[in-house]
Amino acid sequence: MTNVTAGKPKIVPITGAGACAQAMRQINPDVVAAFPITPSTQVVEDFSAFVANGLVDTEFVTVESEHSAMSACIGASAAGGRVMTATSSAGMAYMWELLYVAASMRQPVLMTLVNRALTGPINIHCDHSDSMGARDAGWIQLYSETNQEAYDNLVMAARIAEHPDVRLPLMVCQDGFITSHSIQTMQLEDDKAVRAFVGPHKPYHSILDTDKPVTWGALDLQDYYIEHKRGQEQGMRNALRVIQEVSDDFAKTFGRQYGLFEDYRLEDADIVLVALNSAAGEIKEVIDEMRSKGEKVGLLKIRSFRPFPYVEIGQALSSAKIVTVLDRSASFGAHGPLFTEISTAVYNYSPNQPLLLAHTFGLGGRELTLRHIEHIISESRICLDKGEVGNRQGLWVNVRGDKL
Amino acid sequence: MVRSKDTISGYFEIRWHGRGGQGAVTGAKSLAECVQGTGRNVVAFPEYGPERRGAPVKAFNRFCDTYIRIHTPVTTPDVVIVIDASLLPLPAIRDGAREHTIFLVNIEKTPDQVREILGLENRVVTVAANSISHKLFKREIPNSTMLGAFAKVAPHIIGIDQLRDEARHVFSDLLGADLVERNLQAIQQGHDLCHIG
Repeated sequence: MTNVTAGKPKIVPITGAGACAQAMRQINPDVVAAFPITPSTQVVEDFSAFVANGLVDTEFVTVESEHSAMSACIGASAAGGRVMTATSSAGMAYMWELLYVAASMRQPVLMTLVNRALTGPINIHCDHSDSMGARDAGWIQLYSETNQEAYDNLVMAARIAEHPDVRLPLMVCQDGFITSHSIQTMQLEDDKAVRAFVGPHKPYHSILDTDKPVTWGALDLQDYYIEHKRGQEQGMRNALRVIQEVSDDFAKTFGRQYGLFEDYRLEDADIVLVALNSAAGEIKEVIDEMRSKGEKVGLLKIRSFRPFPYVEIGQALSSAKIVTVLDRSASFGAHGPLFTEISTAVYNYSPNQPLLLAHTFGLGGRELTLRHIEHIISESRICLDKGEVGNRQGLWVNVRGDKL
Repeated sequence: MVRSKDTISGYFEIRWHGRGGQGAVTGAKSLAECVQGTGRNVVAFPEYGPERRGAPVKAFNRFCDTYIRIHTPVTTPDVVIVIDASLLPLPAIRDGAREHTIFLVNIEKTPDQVREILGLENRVVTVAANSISHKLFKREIPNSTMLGAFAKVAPHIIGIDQLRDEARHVFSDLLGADLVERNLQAIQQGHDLCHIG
């Protein structure tokens, strides 16, 4: 075991990608297999320096592709290791087949996903098409507004993913460039405190345990496939409870409290915006401004998108009069993935039936400024006053052609 | 409380202009790391476009006593730092400038001459950062000199003495003792030799 320093937490200026690399250093995983891709490159770059400088015990596997990176992660995890990786966009798309394999083999692989648009046309900037495309792969998805949240989520990740009631892979998402490349002030916890919080990894039916030989990744046809998938689903359902338990323990240890979602000035809000990741920062700024002018507006920021906390969100939106959902990815020919989940939560678990308004924004890194958010809120107010969303439904924000 | 009264966002905001390879991004990063030492919240980030040497690039800082929640590019800067004077005629330099906005320019001209190029009446501070860095580093690395001049322009954000102390810590992680010393000299000269107008 490498030496870790015990001391006080440090307030540091650091990028979101750098913060995740620091969390990985503190976690000291057994194996990291990764193929660098913009904008997650710095995660892998920094971590490989930690390996080279002997700051971690990790076996760093350089691979020729993301497909191989995830394959190596799954193999190392089945061998009994704690395993981490990082990727973005096309890198994750190239892992596609293996994302499902990791989840169905119940391997708690941990990933930093720095969100970036999928290619077509090629683009390196932020949207959520990569993680939203992978939403059905069976990975837990935690989203992060700030560098601090990305770091904190990654510190919590191992205990959630490896929990015996869960045993599923987990990705911590943050916005490409917007947080990954932005230096922000945050609190870096003490190495020893993080290592103590995360705890040792307990291998589960390791293929290297020759006294108890097991088979991993076998053919699984009509006779048992669906039972295994049902088990996978149960792990996801259990994860809702485990995420909250680990988050509560994190709050006791480090003082920052997280839930499955964050409600910001929601209690008496008529207009509620829903968003993921960094856009929540701008939205909070505008909410404070509009609240001071008497507009009752609030934010619901999703942290856990998979599993999705339908009941809790339905209840949290129970007094809203209009819920405007901002999706940073498109599902062509349908409303955005966040909107459909919110609609399900509201329809089934909200005692009242607020208006629901779908907007798409920010594809390929298109800015969402304070002014755009003000406009979205005032448009939501118009819908509310009219009692219907009408032809505003499905408008894209800050795009040539649509009026928002 | 470092909270600008005049910018829309309420944060103290800086916009850096340079050309790819000249260090605007590194400058914003170094300044944030130094101001962090004052106990404030800091943010530094570049504008990522097509990346090529010589193309105009922007970088941004925000400083505040409270947590900085916004990530959008700075549009109403309190200070505009121009590392490459050939960019001065571009409209992007003047974008969002308000009455109180200060222009800090790496140029061997007087503030009056710069005001004429800009077509603005704003406060201008000039510093010959290229020739200062030539003497100290034998090449053009204007960053540290600009940091020193910034301490002259905005001592309420960070004063020269604290800037030197913080910069020593920041640079010591990256550079050898000799280069750290020369960067500190560049900071001091930027502070002492800039022209305020």
